[in-house]
Amino acid sequence: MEETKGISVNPGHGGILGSIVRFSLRRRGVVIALAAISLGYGIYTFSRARYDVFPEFAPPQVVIHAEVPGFSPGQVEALITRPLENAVNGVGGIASLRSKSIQGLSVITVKFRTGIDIYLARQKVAERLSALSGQLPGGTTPIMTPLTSSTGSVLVAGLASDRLTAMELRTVADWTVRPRFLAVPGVSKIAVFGGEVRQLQVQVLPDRLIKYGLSMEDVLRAAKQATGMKGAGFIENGNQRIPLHTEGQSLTPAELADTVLVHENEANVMLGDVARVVDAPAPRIGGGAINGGPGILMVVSAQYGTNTLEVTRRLGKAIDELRPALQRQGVTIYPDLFRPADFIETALGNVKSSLLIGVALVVIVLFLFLFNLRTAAISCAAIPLSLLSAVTILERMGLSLNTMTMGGLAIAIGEVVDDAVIDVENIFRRLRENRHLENPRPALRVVLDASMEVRSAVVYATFAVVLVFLPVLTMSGVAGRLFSPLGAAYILAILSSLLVALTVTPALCMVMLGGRDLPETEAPVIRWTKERYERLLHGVEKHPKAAVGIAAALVAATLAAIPFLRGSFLPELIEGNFIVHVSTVPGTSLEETLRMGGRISGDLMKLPYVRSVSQRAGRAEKGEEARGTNASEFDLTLKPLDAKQFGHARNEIRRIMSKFPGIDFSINTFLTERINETISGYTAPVVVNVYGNDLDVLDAKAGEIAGVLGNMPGAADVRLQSPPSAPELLASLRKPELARWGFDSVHVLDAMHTAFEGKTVGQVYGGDRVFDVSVILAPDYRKSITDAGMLPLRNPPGSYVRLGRLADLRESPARFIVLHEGARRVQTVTCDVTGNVSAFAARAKERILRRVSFPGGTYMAFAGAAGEQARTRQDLWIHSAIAGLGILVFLSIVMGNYRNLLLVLLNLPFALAGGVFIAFLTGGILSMGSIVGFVTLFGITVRNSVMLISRYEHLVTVEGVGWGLEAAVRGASERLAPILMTAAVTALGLLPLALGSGAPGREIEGPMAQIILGGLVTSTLLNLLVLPTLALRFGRFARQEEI
Amino acid sequence: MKKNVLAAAAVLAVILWVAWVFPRHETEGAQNGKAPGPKSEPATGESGNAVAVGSAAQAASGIATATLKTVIYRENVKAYGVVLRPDALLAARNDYVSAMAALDRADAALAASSSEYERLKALNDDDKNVSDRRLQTAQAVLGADRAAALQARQGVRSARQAVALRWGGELAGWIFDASAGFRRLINLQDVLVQVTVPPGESVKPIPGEIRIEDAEGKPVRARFIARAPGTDPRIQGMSFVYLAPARANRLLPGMNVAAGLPSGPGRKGAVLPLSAVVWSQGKAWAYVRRNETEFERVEVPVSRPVSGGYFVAKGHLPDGARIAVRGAQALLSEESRSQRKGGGGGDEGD
Repeated sequence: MEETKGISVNPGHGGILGSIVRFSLRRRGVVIALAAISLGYGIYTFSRARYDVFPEFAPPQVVIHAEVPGFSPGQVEALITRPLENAVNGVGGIASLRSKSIQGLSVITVKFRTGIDIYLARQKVAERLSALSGQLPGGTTPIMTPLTSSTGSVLVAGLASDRLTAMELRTVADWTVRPRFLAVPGVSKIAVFGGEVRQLQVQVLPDRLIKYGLSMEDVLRAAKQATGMKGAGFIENGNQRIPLHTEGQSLTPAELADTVLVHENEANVMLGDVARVVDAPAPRIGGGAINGGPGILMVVSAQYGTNTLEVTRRLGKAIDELRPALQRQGVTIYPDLFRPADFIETALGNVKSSLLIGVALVVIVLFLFLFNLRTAAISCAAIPLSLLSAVTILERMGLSLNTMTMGGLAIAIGEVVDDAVIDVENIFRRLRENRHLENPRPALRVVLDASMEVRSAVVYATFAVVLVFLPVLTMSGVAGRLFSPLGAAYILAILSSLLVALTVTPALCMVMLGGRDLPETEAPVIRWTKERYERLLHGVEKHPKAAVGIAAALVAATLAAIPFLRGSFLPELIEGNFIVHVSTVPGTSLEETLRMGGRISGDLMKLPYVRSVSQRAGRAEKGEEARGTNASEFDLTLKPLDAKQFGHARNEIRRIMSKFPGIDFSINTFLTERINETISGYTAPVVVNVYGNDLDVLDAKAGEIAGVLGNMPGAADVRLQSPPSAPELLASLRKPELARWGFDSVHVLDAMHTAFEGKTVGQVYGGDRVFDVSVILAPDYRKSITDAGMLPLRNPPGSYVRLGRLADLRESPARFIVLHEGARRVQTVTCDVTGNVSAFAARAKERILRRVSFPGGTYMAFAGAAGEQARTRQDLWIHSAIAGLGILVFLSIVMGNYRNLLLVLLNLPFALAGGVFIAFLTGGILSMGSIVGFVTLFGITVRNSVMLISRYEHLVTVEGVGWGLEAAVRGASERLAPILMTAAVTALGLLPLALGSGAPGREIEGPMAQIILGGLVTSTLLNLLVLPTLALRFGRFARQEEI
Repeated sequence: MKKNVLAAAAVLAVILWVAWVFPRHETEGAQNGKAPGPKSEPATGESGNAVAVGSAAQAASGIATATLKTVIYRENVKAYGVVLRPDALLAARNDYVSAMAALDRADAALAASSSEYERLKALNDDDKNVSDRRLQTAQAVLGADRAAALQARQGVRSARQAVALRWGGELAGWIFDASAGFRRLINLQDVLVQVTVPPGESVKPIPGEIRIEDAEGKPVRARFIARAPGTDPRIQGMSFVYLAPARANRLLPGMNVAAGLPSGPGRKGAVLPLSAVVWSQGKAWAYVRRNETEFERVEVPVSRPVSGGYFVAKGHLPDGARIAVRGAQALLSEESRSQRKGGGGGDEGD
C-alpha cells in the first residue's frame, strides 16, 4: 500500500484514461470484486437470456383482416379494401401499405418505419378503424390480427384419428387443444387448418319449400327464433337473490327440426319438413393433411418479442399434458410437424460450440505465446468479462441472443484478448526490465506507466474499429435489422474489453505480477518466432522492390477479381425443413387441392430423409393469408442433413414436384421465406410490380414481363401473383323480370346469399362449446353451376320463380385477386433465381425496359431481395464513405502526418486480398455476411497497423530511438507477439465458425468468418513483412522536440 | 528492370487465371446449387386446346380416364303438382245432376202443359167446348213451362260449361257420364294431380305418362288426362292433369307433390360425370384423351343436367372417347400455366 501512496500524478498520465487506470490500481480489490460481480451477473443473464435464430427482422406491422362472405374480389376491393386503405393511409410513420382482395376477404398489411412503437401504431390504426364502424357493407367489422413475431409460427402441431370423424376431430382441435395452446404464455394465435367445423345446419330443400308454400326467409326466421338465447334475470326477496335460468332453446338437430315453421288448418309444418337439420360442416375455406392422410394442422404463432425457444418448450409441455386424454379418444397428436425451435437449438448450439471451441483455442494460444500461467490467466479473464458484459447490455437493450449477436461476440474475441494481451505483455516486459534497474521503481508505478504506454494506441484503435463498424450499425432494411445487432454486439464487446483493459487488467497485473518473480526469458514460441522474423525482415529489407511488387501484384489481382464475385443477400439456411408452396389454376376446389396434395405428400414421404409432410390448403378462419382454395403450403421436416445433402434434398424435391402437372411451386426454407416475405410481401427474391389503374392492362403487361423473365437463364418458378382468370358464376338480375314477378333485387340477393353462402342465425352450446346455427341450401342443390338457376324464390303474392328466370346466370372468367400497393392497383410477377440475384435483377430490368412498352399511367418497379440488396449496398457504401472519412479524420489526428496515415491505410488492400481470395475459394459468393466480414476485417487490420505505427512513434518519440532499419525491425519485432497473438486468437476464435460454414446457424457467420480469416492471413503477413519496409522508406517518425 | 517485368507477368497471369477460373466456377455453382433436377421425360406441355402430360405425371397426379356408357336420355322437366280434391269433382257432378234434374222436371212440365194446351185447343176449336179463357190459361202455362224448360236446359248447359271450364273436356265427360274413372276418383281409388311446370319451361309433346313422388318420396306413375284449363297460381306455368293411383293413401287430396315430365324424343348419348367437367372462359369443357400423353379440351353442353352429371348427346364427343374423369382440373391447370407463368417462344440468352 506504500506503493499506492507513492504514486504521483505524472503529467503524461493525466486525463480520464490515466485517472481510470490509477483508480483501478489503487482500488484493485474493489475493481476485481466488481469484475467478479459483473461476471456473475453476466453468467446469470446469459443463462436466462432470450434466444432466437435471428434478431427481430420484420419492421413493426399491422395486419387488418375483413371478412365479407360471398363478396367477389372486385366487390371486396371497391367496398372494403378501398375504404380501409383510405382510413389507414393517413396514419403517421407508414412505410408501406399492401392489400389483397380475394373472394370474401380483404387483408391489408401496414408496415411502419423501423423504430416506431408498434403498440402506438396499432392504437392509431385501431382509432381509424373504429371511425369506419358501421360504414362498411354487410356489417363488416375489420379486425387487426394479433401481434406476432417476424418469424410468426413457432410450431405446427397436427391431429389425426382413425376413430373420430373429421368433424369430431376438428371439435377436439377447436375446443380442447386450441384453448390449451392459447393459454401458453407467449402464444398469440392459433390458425387451424383441416377437419370440418361443426355447424348445426338447416339444409333447405327447395322442392319442399314449394310443397309447403314457404320461402327461405320463413326458414331463417324460424331457425333464428328456435335458437334465440335470452337471459331471464333474477328473483330477489329479503333473504335471497335467485337467478333465473332458462332452458328450451333448440340445442340438437332433432330439437331444431321440431320447430314449427307454420301452423295452418290445424296442422303444423315443421322445420324438419322443409329442410334436413343436421350437424354438418361449415363451408370450408381451408383444409389440412398430414403425411398424405386427413388431419388437422394447428399453426401456433408467438407474440411479438417473445422467446421462441421458451414458448416452444411450454407448448411441448402442453402437448404432453394433452396427449393421454387425446390418446383415449383415439387421437394421435403430431407435436412437431414444423418446429423452428429445432433449428434455433441446432443453430445456437453450433454457434455456442464454435464460440466455446474458439475460446478454448484462444486460451491455448495465449498460454503458448505468453508461456506464463499468470499472464495467460489475466488475458483470458478479459474474455468472459468483456463478452458477458456485452451480453448483459444487449439483454438490457431488449435484443435477443441469436446467431447474429453471438457471431458479433465471436469475431470480437480476438480484439478482446488483444486489448488485455497488449497491456499484460507490456506490463510484464516493463516489470521484468524494472528488475534489472539499479533502483527498481515501485511495481505500481511500473504497471501504471506500462499500462499507459500502450493505452492510447489501444483506445485509438478501438475507436477506429467502432467507426469502421458504424456502416453495419446503420444499414437499412432487413439487412440492417439482421446485421446491426451483430455490429452492436461486436462494438459492445470491444468497448467492454477496453474498459476491462483499463481497469481489471492493470489491477489483476498488479495483484498477480506486481510483487512476484517473473521469468527472465520470453516464451519459447515468441523467442523462436522473433529470431526468424527478424532474419526474415532483414531479408525482405534487402529486396524491398520484390516485396512491394509481390504485394502490389497480389492486391492488383484481387481488385481485378472483385467484379467476378457473385452477390447474394443471404446464404441458404440449413434449417432442417422446407416449405413448398403449391398452387394450381384459380378456381380449383379444396377437394382437388387436397387430392393432389395427398399424392404429392405420398411421393415426398418416399424420400428417405423426409420425416413428415403436412399440407395446409386454402386459408384458416381469421387467418392472415389471402390464399384461395387452389393454393397450399407443404411443410417438410427433414432428418438431420449437412449442407451438401440439404442442397441435394432440395433438388430431389424439386424433381418430384416437377412431375405433377398443373402445379406451380416454389421451395424455400422457413426463415429465408420469412425474410423475403418481410422484404417484399412475397417469398420469392425477385419481385416485379406493375402499377396502374386498368387491371386488364396490368395483366397484359405483367404477362409480358413474366414471359421475359421466364426466358432468362437462371429464372425459376416465375409466377403471376394475381392470375387474371378464375371461373366465376355471374348472376345479372333481369330488371323487367323482377318487376313482372314482383321481386326486388335485395330480396333475390339475400336469398342467393343464404342459399349458397349460408347465413348464421344463432348459436347452440353444449358444455363450454358453442356452435353456429346456419341456414343454407342442401349440398345436392349447390354442386353444379346449373343448380344455381333452379333455386326457387317466392314473391310476395306467393308464386315461385326460379332464379334462372330472374337472372342471367353464366360462367365467366373473373379476377381471382386484386392487389394493391400503396393504395395503387398492382400486378406482381415473382421469380426465384438460381445464381446471382442482383445480377439477374439488373439484367431483367434492362430486358423488360427494352421489350415491354408501358402505356401512360402504367409503370414498373423492382422489389424483393434483389431490390433490397441493391438498396442495402447503396446505403452501406454511403455510410461506409462517411465512416471512412470519419476514420481518416480520426487517424490523421492520431497519426500526426499523412505518410503514416497512408501506411495505416495501406494495410486495407492487403486485408482485402486475402478476403477476396477466400471468397473465391469458397464459391465466389459475396453475401451480406461476407460484406460484414470485410468490414470487420478492415477494423482489425486498421487496428493492427495503428498499433505498429504507434509502436514506431513510441520508439522514436518516447524512447528516443533514431528512425532507421534497426528501429523498424525492433518496433516490428516488439509488436510481433501482440500482432501474431491478435491474429492467432482472432483466427482461432473464428476457425470453428469458418470450418463449420454452411452448418445450421453458421450459414451467415461462416462466410463472414472465412473472409476474416483469409484477410487476416494476408494482412498479418503483409503487415509484418511489407509494412516495416514501407514504413522505413515512407514513414516519418520524429522526436517531439524536433518538430 | 528484370524484376519489374517478372512482377508484371505475375500480375497478368493471376488476372488471366481469375478471369478464366471464376466464370466457370459460377456456372458450376449455379448447377450444383438450386437448379432443378433432371426430368426423366418431358412431363408436360400445351398447345391450343390440347395439353400433353407424360404417363409418369398422369400416374403421379392420379389422372384417370373412362369411356362413357351409352344411354338413352329423355329430358325430364321438373314440375310441381297438387293432388286435387275429389269433393270438388263430386260437387261438379252434383251441380250437373241437379241441372239435369231441373231440366227433366221442366221438360216434363212442358210436355204436360203442352198436351193440356193441345187438348184444350182441340176442344175449343170444336165449337168452343172449352172456353177461350181456359185455353188462354193453358197457353200461358205452356209458355211458362217452355220458358222453364229453356231455363233448365240453359242451366244444364251452364253446368256442363262450368264443369268443363273447371275440369276440362275430358274430365267433364267423366263427370257427366259418371264413368268408371269418375267413380274410382270419388271412391279415392285414384287421384287427379294437377302438374304445373315452372314458367319458361315447356314440354313437347305432353307426356302420356309421368312419375310423381308420393308422400314417401316414392315414384308413382300417372297418366295424362288433359291439359288443365287453369294454372297453379303458385307456379304460374303450363299445367296438366294426370291420374294416379292413390296407393294406400300415399297420395292424399290437397297434397303437394313433385313430378318429372319427360319431354322431347329419347336421345342417344352419354352421361358425363360432374368430375369430368371444368369451367373456363365462360364455357364447360371436358378433356378427351388423344393418345397416351395428350388430352384435348372439348366444349361440352351442360343444358341437360342429370343425376351426377350432364347428358351429352351422341356426336358431341367422339365415339369410344376416353374422358378424364379424375384430374380434369389438373389438366386445365397445366394447360393454363402459360397464363400464370413466363414461358413460350425462344428468347436469346444473355
